[in-house]
Amino acid sequence: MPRGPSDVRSDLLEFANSWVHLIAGGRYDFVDHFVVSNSRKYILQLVERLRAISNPPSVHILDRAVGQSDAARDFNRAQVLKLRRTLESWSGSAFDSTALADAVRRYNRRAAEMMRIAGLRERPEPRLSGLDAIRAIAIARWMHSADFLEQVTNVTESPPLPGVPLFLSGSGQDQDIVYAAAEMAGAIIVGECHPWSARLLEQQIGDGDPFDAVAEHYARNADFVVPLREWTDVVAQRFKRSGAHALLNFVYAHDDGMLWEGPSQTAVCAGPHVMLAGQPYRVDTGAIADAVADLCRAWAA
Amino acid sequence: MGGMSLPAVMERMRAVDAVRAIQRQWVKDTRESVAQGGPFAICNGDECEELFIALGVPVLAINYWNYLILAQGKRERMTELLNEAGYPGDHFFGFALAASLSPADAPWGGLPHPTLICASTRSDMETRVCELWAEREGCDSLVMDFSFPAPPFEPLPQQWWVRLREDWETMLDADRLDYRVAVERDLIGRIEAMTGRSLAGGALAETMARINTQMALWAEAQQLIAQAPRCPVHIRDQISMYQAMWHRGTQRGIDLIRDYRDETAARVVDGVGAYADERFRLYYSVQVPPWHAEIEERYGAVAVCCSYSNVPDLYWRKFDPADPLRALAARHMMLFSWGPERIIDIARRHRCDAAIVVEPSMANGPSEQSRAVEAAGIPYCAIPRPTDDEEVRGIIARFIETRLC
Repeated sequence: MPRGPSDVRSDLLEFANSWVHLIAGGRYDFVDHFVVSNSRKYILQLVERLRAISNPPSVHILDRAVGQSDAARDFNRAQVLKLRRTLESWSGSAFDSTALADAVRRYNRRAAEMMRIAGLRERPEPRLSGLDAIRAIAIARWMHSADFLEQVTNVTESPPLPGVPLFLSGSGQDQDIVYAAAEMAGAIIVGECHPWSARLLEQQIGDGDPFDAVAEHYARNADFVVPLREWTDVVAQRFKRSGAHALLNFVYAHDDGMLWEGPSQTAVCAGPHVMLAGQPYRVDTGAIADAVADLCRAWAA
Repeated sequence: MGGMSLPAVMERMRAVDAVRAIQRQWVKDTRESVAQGGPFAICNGDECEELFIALGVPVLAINYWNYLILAQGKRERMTELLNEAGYPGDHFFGFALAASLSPADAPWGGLPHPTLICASTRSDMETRVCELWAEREGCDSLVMDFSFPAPPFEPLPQQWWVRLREDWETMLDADRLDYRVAVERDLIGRIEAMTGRSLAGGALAETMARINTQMALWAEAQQLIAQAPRCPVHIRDQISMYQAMWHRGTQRGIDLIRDYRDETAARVVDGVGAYADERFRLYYSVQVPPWHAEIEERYGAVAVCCSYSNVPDLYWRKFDPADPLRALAARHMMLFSWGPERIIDIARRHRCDAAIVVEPSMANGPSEQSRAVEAAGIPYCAIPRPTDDEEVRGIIARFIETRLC
């Protein structure tokens, strides 16, 4: 039985179920170790569920304090050191600072590419679809940075793309179907701020000792930003930068934290807006099409 | 959580009437105090109330207010208010925020304006609700990292509820506890600045000692309930007494629970049973079963205990009088856990014939928990939600008829 309050249950979140089923069902039986990030509260419940399956992978929790104090940053920096020790014990070898420095350089080149890709999407003439952008972001997230950097040069501008320029917020989009559905319905997604956006990927790691730099980077860049007014400012800045004229707030069922950010965002993002809440993970593309149609009508009015 | 059908006739305990009267008066007194410039704080339950109490600041636990809203039948109205404000869905934790949007709909005339709202990090949703509320009230908010539950990353030991009293430090991640202590020290600084008072001089240690006294009395009362030949206190009253939690660590809180213990003891001596027909004794995993009247009348199946009625005992902590904050911060992170061992322990102590447990994911088949409880010889009935509806009643009726009768 998962720990935690009944209003945040990982067995109600389909991405968490998906992970557990893939591992328990043997499809990911090659996974020996699992790093779970405490970037969102419900993610930790995944740990309990993983422990309950037979032959679970070993788990390391990359913890996080959400506060903004010096003590919070010190705590978060220390978590990177703990992760380092775990990774060294799993691999049986010590970290190579030179190799990490190279990885940091590639990370920063990737961050620059993320900014370049973002630039291709910005108004007045977006030259990259949101669908292509989210796919590029996804492979940036999951592909080894050396391989990604070879691929990303293929992400180049296209002729100007039509469509109502739309900004997407709400639940993390770990699949591209929302983007595909919205853009088929007449929008072009020019920016986003959900947990699977490029927001954090665009941030460069600083100079100096690579371990310290990575730790500082982790401490200063959070997925879940507090206080709410600071997060709302981030969303407003990204909305403005993207040149969007409308806002779609798309929230999966049981992803309740996102619901409570919506009205604050609509208050600072000029233009028509729609919230689609309680959405199934197996996305209802019809609901998206209807929402985009509403936004297009409102935008044209 | 749906509407609850209360039993037809059963006098409330005098202790329960007392705590209910005190709560209403407390809100009135706090409103007057704030009107005269006094501070008032809001936080989630088991977040940091003791720090305010020790410094004499009235503090309200959000979920207490939410439960009061439910008890007054205002759930639909609060949901309507939240939906109109752009927050779709039905969200228990948001009810207090909703009440602030329409004070005329709030219980007892609503709450006074707070000076500070401590934002729980129990979930992202709770953090945001607290922040929104603070924005609305124009007051400060402080995010409290590692709110309960922040259990250890390593599995808890067997019988953790026994070891928690003295070995609490071994059941938490040390760096999280260190950080939480820092967060609470920061809060203490804010409260001291707010009030001009100081925690130096032992006020917190005195509060912690009073908590231990209060909870020891509460545990005695629950022991009397568990051991009595007939259950002397209706589950409704057991839960109603929970309101004394909002006076945790105060002399008033001690007095309320001492009276409850004494009244319970007198009922046991007099052979008073809370239920006219006590044929089957049940453990319930939430609070007051909303279908209780139905199964009591039909089968003589009565709830003699629940998870909440056995929580007060878990507040007792051994602490260092020179550093009480560490024990308190630890308890704010880890008050209790869940799991089949705890259900088995409570059910056995109360001589329960069965356990009825809310399992939202019961459609996926028997849970590991159900298997463990059944293996311990306690029939286990899983229901999908803590509401009173045809499906839930049907499941319970079939269970009683096939497993207990």
